[in-house]
Amino acid sequence: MRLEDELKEMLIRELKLVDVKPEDIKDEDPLFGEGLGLDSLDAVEVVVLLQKHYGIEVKGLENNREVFSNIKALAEFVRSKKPQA
Amino acid sequence: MSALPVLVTGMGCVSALGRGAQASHQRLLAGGRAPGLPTLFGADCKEYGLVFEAPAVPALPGAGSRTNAMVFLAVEEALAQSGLELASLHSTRVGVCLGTTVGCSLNDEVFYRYFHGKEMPGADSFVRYLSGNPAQALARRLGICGPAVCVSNACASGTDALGLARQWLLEGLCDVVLAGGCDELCRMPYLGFTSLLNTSPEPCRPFDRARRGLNLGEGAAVLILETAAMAQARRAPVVGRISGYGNALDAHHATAPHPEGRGLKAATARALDEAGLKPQDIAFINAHGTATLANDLVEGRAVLETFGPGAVLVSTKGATGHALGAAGALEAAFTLMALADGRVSPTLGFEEIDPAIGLAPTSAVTPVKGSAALSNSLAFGGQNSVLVLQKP
Amino acid sequence: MDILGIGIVSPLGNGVEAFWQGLGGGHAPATAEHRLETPQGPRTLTIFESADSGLERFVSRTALRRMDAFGRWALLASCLALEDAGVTLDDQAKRRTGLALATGYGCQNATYSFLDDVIDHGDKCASPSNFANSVANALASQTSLGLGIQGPCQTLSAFEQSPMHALWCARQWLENRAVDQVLVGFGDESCGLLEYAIAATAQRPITAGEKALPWNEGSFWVGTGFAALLLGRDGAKPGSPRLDSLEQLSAPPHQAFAEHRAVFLQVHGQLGPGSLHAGWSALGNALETRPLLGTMPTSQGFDLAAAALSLRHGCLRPAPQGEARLQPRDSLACLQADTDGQFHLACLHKD
Repeated sequence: MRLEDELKEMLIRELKLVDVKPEDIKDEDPLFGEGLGLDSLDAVEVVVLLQKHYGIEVKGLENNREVFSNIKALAEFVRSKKPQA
Repeated sequence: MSALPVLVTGMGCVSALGRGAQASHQRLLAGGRAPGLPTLFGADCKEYGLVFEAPAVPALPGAGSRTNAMVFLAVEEALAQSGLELASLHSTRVGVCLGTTVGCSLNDEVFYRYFHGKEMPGADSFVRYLSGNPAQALARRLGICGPAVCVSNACASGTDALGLARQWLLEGLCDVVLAGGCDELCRMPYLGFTSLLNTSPEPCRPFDRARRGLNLGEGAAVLILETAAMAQARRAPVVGRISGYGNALDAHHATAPHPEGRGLKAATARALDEAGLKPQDIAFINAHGTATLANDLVEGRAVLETFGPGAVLVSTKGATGHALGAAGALEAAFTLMALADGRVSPTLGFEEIDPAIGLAPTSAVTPVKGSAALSNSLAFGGQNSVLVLQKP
Repeated sequence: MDILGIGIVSPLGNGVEAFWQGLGGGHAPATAEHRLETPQGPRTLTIFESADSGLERFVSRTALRRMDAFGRWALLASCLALEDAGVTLDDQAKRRTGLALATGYGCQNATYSFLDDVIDHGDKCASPSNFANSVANALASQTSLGLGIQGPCQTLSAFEQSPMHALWCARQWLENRAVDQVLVGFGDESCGLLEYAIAATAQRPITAGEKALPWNEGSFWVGTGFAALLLGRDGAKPGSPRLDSLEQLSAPPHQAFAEHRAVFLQVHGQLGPGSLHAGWSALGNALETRPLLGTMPTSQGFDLAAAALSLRHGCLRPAPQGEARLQPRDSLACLQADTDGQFHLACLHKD
């Protein structure tokens, strides 16, 4: 499975995004604010999910806003930290 | 509802500032703080938020928990100051109202780990929990037979417990209430706030442009509240008054405050209205001031809007950390002492104004005139609570 | 205070109709038998289960996504109470409605979900959402967010004494005109650890200074759910059940059984021969909801709802010995006896 699709499934499952299917999320759709409409509490939850599922430590959010902007950026970030992902 | 004042006749404080209300006030004025990494427990975090531990808290027999030990110490001091005889507490007209976050939860991690690991732990932990509700434990210890309850409103618990106790007295439910708040530092809130990215690995910087988050603290504060009739009848020393209380919800978000401080402004208006005061009557405001990005922005701007650019704002959390359920009660005590002294302490950790807030808190000992001050508390769930505290 | 509306999330079902029908024996409560191994040997508990069915009528699934089951019960009970009262909250009403919630055990499942992640995956995997849900005022937060309530709010906790505190708070707010109406909620949930702990504390001796365990056979019937009442000032809704008095007493109020047509009873403590419970049950007008709803610290909330509905319908449920019909002037009481030697007595009649 593409990492991008794996991330979509993880977000839907862990953030309990009812009525959203992975195919509804395009890789470059914004995740926060508009698009998927995630908020600040989801953002900190995603930090923990990256730790839990990929063992990646994200220190703080301020420097990482671009990383979380959409699925494409998130996948690139995960690959950069875990090349085998 | 009686229009007579609700009087404070004694106070007791335990926090990172040590034991003793007056000693704490003097240390606040002197400045100086020493947050550090937690020693009460271990944790494995990618970044370690500093904490403010209360020094030298003995394990008191019969306390059952560190939280309750701190309560008992604070109560001892408060009762001594008030001169209330212990025998007079054995009455249905005496109540206990304490704010707490961890004190009411069955969150004994050791017990749970055994259970989670499919072992069969002994149930001592559960029995301690059933006996350990701080308000009930205190009532049982002192033979108090009136209302006893814990207020569990997250970070506003201490303020709300004082507000609720005040309601009891005005309604005539009791004549005396031992009211305040308590919480010990422990792993669950430490890990929880860390996961929210709300904590700072540096000493916290309330309202500062470069603030990064809060430092957790711990403690207990108990104020003896009495009706005027009761205090006069026994010629009690009067330390101050609680003359107004406002409590309002934001209904905005589970953890973030309303961006325009809607609930805080409503709570402030209500508190002032009850006290029959206007913003210009307020000598200073003891802020919630946790040093998180969100809280200080919203609170600072709301204070500026309501009280104007000349408002004297202080966050004592720079010296105590965020003691959760104890915070509002500690801050009420600090506010009364600052009023009595005519001097407000510097906001430790503040150096540079945040232009987004547009208001700076105290950065030195600040003389104040006036007989009334506010204490704010904001909590998860959009809880906003404000007390008006006055000189006797 | 007038009881303007009643909302129920319970093992007998959700909403006043299902609750009333179940109180009358129309259907059995939802229960499950859980067998637990303890150091003293195996023990079976009966769990009286609640569910959040019907919540989607009031709140979208998207808005519910962060709420755990207990938070949903609290919100649903409040929504049902407003619906039962025929009240829709406009902007003004949202600011003038208070929220006073009572819970004995607080938010256990969120706490243990939080600890599960920490234990299984390490401290760095603590979930912020679970943490936010684990603080007892998360119930009020969910209710406030779901309904837009901006009035004052208190979440109160003192085990079996919690319900009376929520009622006193509501009364004070109404009297000092902080609000025009109050949603008062009473609820508890269960979880594996609680069930284990209850089973494992069987016959453990009490030591001095400890609160006596609420130990009796009824402790093995673990109740769950949420009851909500929408309260207004006296006269807000003529003809509604009215709460007349809310008292805390240090001596057993035997006179309540003579003064009131029936007394809904929550006794936490020994139930054996010679006990208060045995004496009161023998008087004939003690009613207990325990066989239908189990026992939780805030069970008095369900009793208040049952008493209010009995007044509304003019007949007693659960069925008493003898005549069930109520006379117009009959009053009812809800009595709670806890193991600290305190008694909480709420009295109601129909206006």
